[in-house]
Amino acid sequence: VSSPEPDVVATAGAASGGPWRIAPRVAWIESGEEVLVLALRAPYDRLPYRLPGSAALIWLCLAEGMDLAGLIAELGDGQPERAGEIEAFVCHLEGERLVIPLHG
Amino acid sequence: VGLPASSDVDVLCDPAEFTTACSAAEAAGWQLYPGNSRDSHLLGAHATTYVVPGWPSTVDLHNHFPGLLAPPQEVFETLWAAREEIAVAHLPTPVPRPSAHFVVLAVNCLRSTAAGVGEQLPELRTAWSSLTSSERVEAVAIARTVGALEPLRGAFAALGADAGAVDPRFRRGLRAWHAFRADPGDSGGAWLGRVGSRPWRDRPAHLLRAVWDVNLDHSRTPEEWAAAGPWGRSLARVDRARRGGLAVARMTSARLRRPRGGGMP
Repeated sequence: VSSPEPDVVATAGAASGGPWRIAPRVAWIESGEEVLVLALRAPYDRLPYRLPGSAALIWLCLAEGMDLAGLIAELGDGQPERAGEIEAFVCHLEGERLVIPLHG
Repeated sequence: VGLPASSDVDVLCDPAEFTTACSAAEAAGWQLYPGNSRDSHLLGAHATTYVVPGWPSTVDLHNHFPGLLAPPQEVFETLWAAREEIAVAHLPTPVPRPSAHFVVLAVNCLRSTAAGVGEQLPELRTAWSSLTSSERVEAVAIARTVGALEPLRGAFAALGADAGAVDPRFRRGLRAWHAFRADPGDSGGAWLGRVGSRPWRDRPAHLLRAVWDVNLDHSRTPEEWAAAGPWGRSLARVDRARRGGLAVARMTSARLRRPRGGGMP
């Protein structure tokens, strides 16, 4: 599946802190080291996302219901800039309505 | 999101709600595969194909599956009653349960190969071996209900299953099934089968569509269709009429040669 990778540039505002769950009508599979994600909702004009490497790891953690603190502890390597990237990526996924708050 | 080998997605729709399903697909932005029309099922086509712009796979909205010879509504009701829910890409999806799925898989395997089951036997055997003994009994029962018992009789025998008494229903459909399998690549023969299954008053319009709807049998990809231009499309239709004429000649010749009552593989 040919697809653009998500833009991981930080967006305005911070992630809600989680935990999150995968949004309804979002299909996803693991394919090798990647995760492929596709929102199945009108207007069906989005191509699938291909999440490689650490983006895939973040997705899998979100699918397990991990919150932001857990993500940073798990994948942040103790580096502040890394924590910021993780938060920005989760913000992006929320903005794209691919993940939603677990109790939202 | 599909498995790497998938080229299309087959969706069985309630025949009574087929136009509603087409409307829903179009409202979602899906586009008819060139040459298809929403009344394709009225011409005997078993599916109407849609493309989702930008997606590599097509989506076939089926009102029916070839080889299931019972009326489409009865087939749907049977398969719907025999459904279960599985997760496909983490989304709950209704599918026929294993026994019913075997029947659909088997006719799909066999329809595109010449008569006999030898070539497809390994795949069928793998699917069959995944069924429990009660599921195997149920598969034969479902095959009888949906009119697939005679199309699958040879396969059941090869798998060591007792298909039971001959199902005398659907003789015309069974003849068309055997005729199609005798030459699976012969779209002219398939069209003649469709035309022959219609009332006489409908046949002229069907013959015209057989020539005009060059793409209904997916003989052209969307890219080929778009690139063909008016002249290329006209040539394709002339060629289709020529192949239709040859198909008539072949089928007439075969019918004259075939002993009465024969032809069951």
